[in-house]
Amino acid sequence: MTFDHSLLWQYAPQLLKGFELTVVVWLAGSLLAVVLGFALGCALLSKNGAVSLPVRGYVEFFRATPLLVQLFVAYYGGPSIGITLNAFTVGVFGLGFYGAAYFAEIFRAGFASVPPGQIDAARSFGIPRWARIRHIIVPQMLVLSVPPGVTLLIILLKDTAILSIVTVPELTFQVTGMTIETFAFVEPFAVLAALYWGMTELVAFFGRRAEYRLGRYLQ
Amino acid sequence: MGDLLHIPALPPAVFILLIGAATTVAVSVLGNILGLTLGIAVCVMRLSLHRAARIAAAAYISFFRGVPLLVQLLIIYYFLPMIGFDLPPFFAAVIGLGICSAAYQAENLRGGFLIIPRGQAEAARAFGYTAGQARRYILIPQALRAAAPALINEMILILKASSLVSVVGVADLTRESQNIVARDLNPIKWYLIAALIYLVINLVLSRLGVAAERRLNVGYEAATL
Amino acid sequence: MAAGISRDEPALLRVANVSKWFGAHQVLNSVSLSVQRSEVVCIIGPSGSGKSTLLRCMNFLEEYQSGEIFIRGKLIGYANARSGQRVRDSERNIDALRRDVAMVFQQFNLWPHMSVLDNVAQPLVLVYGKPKAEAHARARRVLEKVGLGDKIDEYPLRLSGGQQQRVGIARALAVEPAAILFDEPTSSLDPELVGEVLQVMKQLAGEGMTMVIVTHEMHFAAEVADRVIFLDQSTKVEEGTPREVFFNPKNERTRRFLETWAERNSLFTRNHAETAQRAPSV
Repeated sequence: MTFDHSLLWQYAPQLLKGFELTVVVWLAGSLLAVVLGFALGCALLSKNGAVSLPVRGYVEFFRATPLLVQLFVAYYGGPSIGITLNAFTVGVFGLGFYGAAYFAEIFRAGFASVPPGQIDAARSFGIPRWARIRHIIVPQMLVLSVPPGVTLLIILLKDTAILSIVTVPELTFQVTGMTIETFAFVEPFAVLAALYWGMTELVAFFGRRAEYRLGRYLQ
Repeated sequence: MGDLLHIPALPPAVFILLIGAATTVAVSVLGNILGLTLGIAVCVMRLSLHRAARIAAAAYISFFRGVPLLVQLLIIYYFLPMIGFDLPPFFAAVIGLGICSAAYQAENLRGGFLIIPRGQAEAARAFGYTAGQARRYILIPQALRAAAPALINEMILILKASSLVSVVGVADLTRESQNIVARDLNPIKWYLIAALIYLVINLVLSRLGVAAERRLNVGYEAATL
Repeated sequence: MAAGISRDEPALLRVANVSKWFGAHQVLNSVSLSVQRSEVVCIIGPSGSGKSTLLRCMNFLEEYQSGEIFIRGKLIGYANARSGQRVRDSERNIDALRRDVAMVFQQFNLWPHMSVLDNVAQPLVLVYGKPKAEAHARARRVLEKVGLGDKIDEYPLRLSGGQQQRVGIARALAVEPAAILFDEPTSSLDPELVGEVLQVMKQLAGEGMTMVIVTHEMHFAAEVADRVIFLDQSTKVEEGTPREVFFNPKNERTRRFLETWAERNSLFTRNHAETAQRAPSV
């Protein structure tokens, strides 16, 4: 097995496009996941069963089933109920709805972790509910959510590879295409593995920095 | 969903799905066992006194947690035949799942080890245990117990991740559902049924996990103040 | 302490026959209590007697099932519906009444993500709508008063327990409440840090602040309280001046409680018996 560099230069444009799309899909999907997940997390805390139970059902479903199967339902199943989506859209929304279920749990646990005594103190001064939520609860909840949140973002980044199976032309898709065409195996996959490794370590690094900065007041 | 009533087509297809589910469970369980065994070894290296071992283990953990499982499976699938191991896809998949899972299990176990009070190992050495004996009889059992919830959770994660082995030619639940859709052309129905089967298996695993945790914690409630 | 109490005014805080149950378990049994302006009332009793619960009912952090609690003559927690039935009052009304009483907590309950200055200033901004500059200025003054003027930019978790509790007291003072409720303010502190907090509380009492204090610090209660209330198993068992309750308890249960406490704190019976004889008449 020899490592043929020329192949990589030849396919560099495709690989670059794939890399770019990986990042775009990841960011878009993650944004959706965080925003939707926050809303769902709040809903999970509702005392109103009509609100919290359906959300709980959503969370359990999306957390107990594989992302791949979810993507199949959306991509291949969509047309049969009249929704034909292109691969990119399926990728972003697939990641987004999947990630939202996990973020919902993270945020819910974050809310629950704020020490009740601090909420007591806020109540004892007559601080109204919305102010309690905004100034006391949410700031601390967000800090508590960063470590598991960063872990989840890294998972979502890796899961973009799965999108290749439903023909989203991200990095893995481009590389498997390259392998099929050139019959070369070592070079493309070595680069592929290295790129993902690099990306995840980078995100993990910035995540640790963010954790440190935000958590400083917690000693 | 009117063809749910189309009885003749239903039973064989669902039966095929269930066989696929059994394959899924089999590959997951074997992958988990391999992952745990390998994970213990990697964890021991990670906590070793030798710097080289620690670095190697850390690199292993970092790599196999940093690269997507799909890519790992593809590498193993293409790579093994190249170096002469012509394994059936099922076993290639087990190896792939196991190697990847080992990295996560090593981290879970490390958390378990770190919780063990230092005095335990000291007591063992004071009685003349070798390092290996201390590890085997005192430390590893306690680390396993402490890490049990995370390890049980890992089983559920492997089960979900196993859907990717469909890509490397294993006839698991996902692959079988794809085959049925190719024939029967009712993607939403069959993929949702497949999803439901995954969900049920995971619910059962969760329950087993809760029960196992409770059993493992007997005798430990008194220990915490 | 004694100086400013006006017995002619209506009570600042009034608890009237309040009972509370947690499920089937009764935690407060028809407890009554009245606090005048500038009075210092100490509530003592064994764990589980309901002392903290009583205090927390007074600013409606806990609800109570029967009886009434009045803050400056207004009923807190409940309103009479048109049908004459008693219903839970709106959060807005309850919050409005809470402005009159501030609370100091056993666990301090400072907000860790804000500086000390912000901890003290924030209720002023959020509840009283004060502009930030004014709130900060008042916060600084109050923090000076409790001896923490140099710590205003610190974060709570960097401070010692005693310092944190003094911040808690400053936070309560800043809103200029009619009364301050203290829920075992020194119970979580290391012994050597208790003194600095009691010192601040003593100073407040001397300045005429109305205080209701749940405490185990009997020396402090004997020295500072105008009235002492002994609560045991959800019932008010005895009430009186410190002299009366500590040295001439009328009830057998009070006596037993004080004896058990005295055994563990033998200093009390020896030293304080003497100082109490010399204490100014209340």
